[in-house]
Amino acid sequence: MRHIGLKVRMAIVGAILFAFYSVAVAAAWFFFGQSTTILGIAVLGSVLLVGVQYKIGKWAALRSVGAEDMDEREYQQIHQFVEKVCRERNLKKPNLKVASMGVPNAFAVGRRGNGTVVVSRELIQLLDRDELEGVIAHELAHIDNRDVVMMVLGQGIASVVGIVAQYIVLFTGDNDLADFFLAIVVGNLVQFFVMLFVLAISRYREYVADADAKRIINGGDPLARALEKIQQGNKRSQDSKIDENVNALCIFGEDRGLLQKLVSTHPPTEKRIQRLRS
Amino acid sequence: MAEFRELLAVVLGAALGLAMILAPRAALRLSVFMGPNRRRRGDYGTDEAIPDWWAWLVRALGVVCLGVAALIAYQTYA
Repeated sequence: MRHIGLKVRMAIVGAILFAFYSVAVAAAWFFFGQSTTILGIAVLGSVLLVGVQYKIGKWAALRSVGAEDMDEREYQQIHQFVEKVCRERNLKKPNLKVASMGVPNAFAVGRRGNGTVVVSRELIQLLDRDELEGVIAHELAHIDNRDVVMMVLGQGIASVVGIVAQYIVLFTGDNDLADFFLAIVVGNLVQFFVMLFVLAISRYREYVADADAKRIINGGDPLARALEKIQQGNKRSQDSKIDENVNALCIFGEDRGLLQKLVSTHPPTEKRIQRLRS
Repeated sequence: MAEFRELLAVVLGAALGLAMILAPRAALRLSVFMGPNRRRRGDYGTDEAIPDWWAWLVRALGVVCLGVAALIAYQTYA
């Protein structure tokens, strides 16, 4: 069985997320009339919310970077590599797009059977062929493992739980300023709390996608080298940004440390490199 | 009971306001305003960097939050 440790942790965090959702729906049912209509509205509303987030999110992600179809002649090697991987993994070939993002990047949107992988021109220029294949294999693993859907679902649950908490506080109070304010604050705090679990899932999924990419390209070193190259580029650009802002924003610099790790979608790059090479 | 809700509004509101002032980027990353696809658009392997003006906007909201918490405290306990 693949990634057993990660799967166990995913199952635990997933179960906690589902528990949050169940409690929110049960609370909505209990506080707002205890009828099946309320239950139906809560469940249907959640499904609609997640569905709309998924559709709009995919469209907005592609539009915001100005993604264009990847020309089959110009990027023949990438197309051939993707087709080979998809054949091996019994995966429908995703749409391949290219974009000028200003930074080396690649991301996947959509689901298994209807996915899209976007690669930035900067990334294609920066990486050697085997490193680029490592990155693309990682993105294909995200589509194969339905990670995008998982993240949309997780964020949807966080929203639903936050909204339910907000309305419960609002409708059980006296409708004055304190109750109105408390409802907003509780809604946000509850949603923040649930998001911590969603982001933990996201970080686990990154390790899984790395492990899958390692298997696809028969070794973790190319992807590790790609991460190193991109990290070195990041460090240089961050250093110059810090220089520009150091006088004005010294006290309120970038949030760092444990908090930064907890709110990231990705694990630390050093850890990923270490695992890829282990 | 009513006083308890006011106390909760003051304490939680102040906590949220302080969090937004001290760690605006973390607060934004935990909010629904950063959609799942948007989060991943930094350099590859990192989250999208949050511009300074967004961070200042969150801090301003944090100040508003503290202000409302202080107003409720004043109305209830002064």
